[in-house]
Amino acid sequence: MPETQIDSKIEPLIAVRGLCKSFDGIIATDHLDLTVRRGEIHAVIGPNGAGKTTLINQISGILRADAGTISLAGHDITAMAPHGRSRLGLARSFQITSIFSDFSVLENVALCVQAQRGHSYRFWRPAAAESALNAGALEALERVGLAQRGGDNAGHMSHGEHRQLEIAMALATNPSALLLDEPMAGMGRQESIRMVEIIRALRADHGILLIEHDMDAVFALADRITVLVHGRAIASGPPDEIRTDREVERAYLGDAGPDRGGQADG
Amino acid sequence: MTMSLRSPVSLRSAVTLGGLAAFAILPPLAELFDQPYYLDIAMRMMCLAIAAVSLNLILGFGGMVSFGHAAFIGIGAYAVGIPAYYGEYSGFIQIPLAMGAAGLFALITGAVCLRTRGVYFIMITLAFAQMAFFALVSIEEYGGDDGLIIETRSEFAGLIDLEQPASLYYLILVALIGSLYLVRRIVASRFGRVIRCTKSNDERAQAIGFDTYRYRLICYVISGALCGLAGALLGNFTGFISPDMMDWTRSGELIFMVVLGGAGSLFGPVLGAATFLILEEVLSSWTLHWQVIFGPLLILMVLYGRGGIDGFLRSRHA
Repeated sequence: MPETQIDSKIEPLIAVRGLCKSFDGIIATDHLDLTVRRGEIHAVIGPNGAGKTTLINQISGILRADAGTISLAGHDITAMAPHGRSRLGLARSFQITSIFSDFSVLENVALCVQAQRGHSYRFWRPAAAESALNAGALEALERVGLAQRGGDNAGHMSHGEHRQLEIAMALATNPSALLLDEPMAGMGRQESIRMVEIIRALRADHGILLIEHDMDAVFALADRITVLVHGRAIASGPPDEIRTDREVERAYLGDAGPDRGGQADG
Repeated sequence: MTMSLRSPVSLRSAVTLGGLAAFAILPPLAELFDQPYYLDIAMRMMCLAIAAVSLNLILGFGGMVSFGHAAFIGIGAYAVGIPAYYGEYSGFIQIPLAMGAAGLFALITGAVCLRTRGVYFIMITLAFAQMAFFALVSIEEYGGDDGLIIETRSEFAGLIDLEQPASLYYLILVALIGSLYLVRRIVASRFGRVIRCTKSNDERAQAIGFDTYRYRLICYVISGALCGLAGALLGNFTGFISPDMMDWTRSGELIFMVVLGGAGSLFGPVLGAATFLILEEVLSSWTLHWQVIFGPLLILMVLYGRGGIDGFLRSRHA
């Protein structure tokens, strides 16, 4: 199904065209087209193994696509290394919490600020004393409600706080595009509600690609939803359309066949 | 890295400062009691400590387990020995040559090694060190595997006379303190923060925007150059250099020193090198088969002493 073109004149922030990826013959991404505009939350949902994380990995550059193109704010980034994409304004969070657990909370985020501002070939001056880094880090921590926890060891926080730290780290690189890989994964009800608030507050300044299994969160946040099954977009449109789409219903009821792409989602 | 000391003088800082003070006052004491032998042990200890400090920079803080670090010691030593063989004794040439050659070797081999991870990294650093070992064995001009005698120690335009044991001793001590200070500054800097984060989570570091390969390579070069300095000092101290200095068992000993003392702690490698050499001395004076005791003892210390000696000291503060 073609993507709904609401305002095609505005150049999309992220544009994926004809993307293909397979692992040992198992198709994880199948001629996928997808865009994320500024100020929009585009959610990608689908059963386990549908290729959602594989998609994020290709956009962020950890995986190289077999075919197709990815562009970020008009730049072709298909063959660019992850750190290059990051410098162009792309940031991601990880499905499995991926923080620097032996660093303090503040240092985790300050490191991300450091990656974006100036270079890191400074060998002498103590980084912990650089107020520009710390101020930027605190600002990001404030946006996710962790400003009070800066001095704590990141390894000793609760799961929900880890997820919030993940978002703060993504924000610290000052990105225009955010890829959020199951930010609510493993969260309790209260934590999820809090995370929905945090993400909603980010919509104004960012284009967000959201992967999430928590359907309450998806329908509360998304401007558009794409449904992925075996790497193929079987539906794409505003939440109300998706909610009533029969094919989507079938995919979630399990008629779409066995879960073949299991390894692709890890 | 935040270091919190709950009591003003913890056991850890007492041991560290006490140890450095002991090093500082050893020469007059050794002369007073006419025991120059202890001076020799201390000099060897400090040279190896500098090498261990350099290894700790990449292993302890960067997670790069190099099994070929002795190659840099050998290169540093030959950078003193080969010029001396041709009659060039100036330390102002030898020392920069030692650090430069070791750094260059680190740059070339590191560019390949750092493409790999884990066990492959360990094996390929070992392979390069063995190549350097056999290269020097095969050069007959510089003695092959018989080695080379350095008849004249490095000269510093009359500023210090290394033929005086105490002068050489204090030069090595200053180099050790300088190395510790250098590593301390690097680790706390922006660069050091990147290095520490690549150890913690390299994939995430790349996602943040760091070209981690380059940072790790630069760190590897700094470490190699510093180890080259250790080799140059060791060559001056022993007055005899041979390919045995870069034997793979030497590289293994350096890893042991770092892990024993506490990988990723600033003074850990110094504690490790000191403990290693003292144990070696004491045990070998007891029995000829001292290695039968030494080996298992080291394994036990590494297995049960999490965080090494430094970790133990840290856990003991009030």
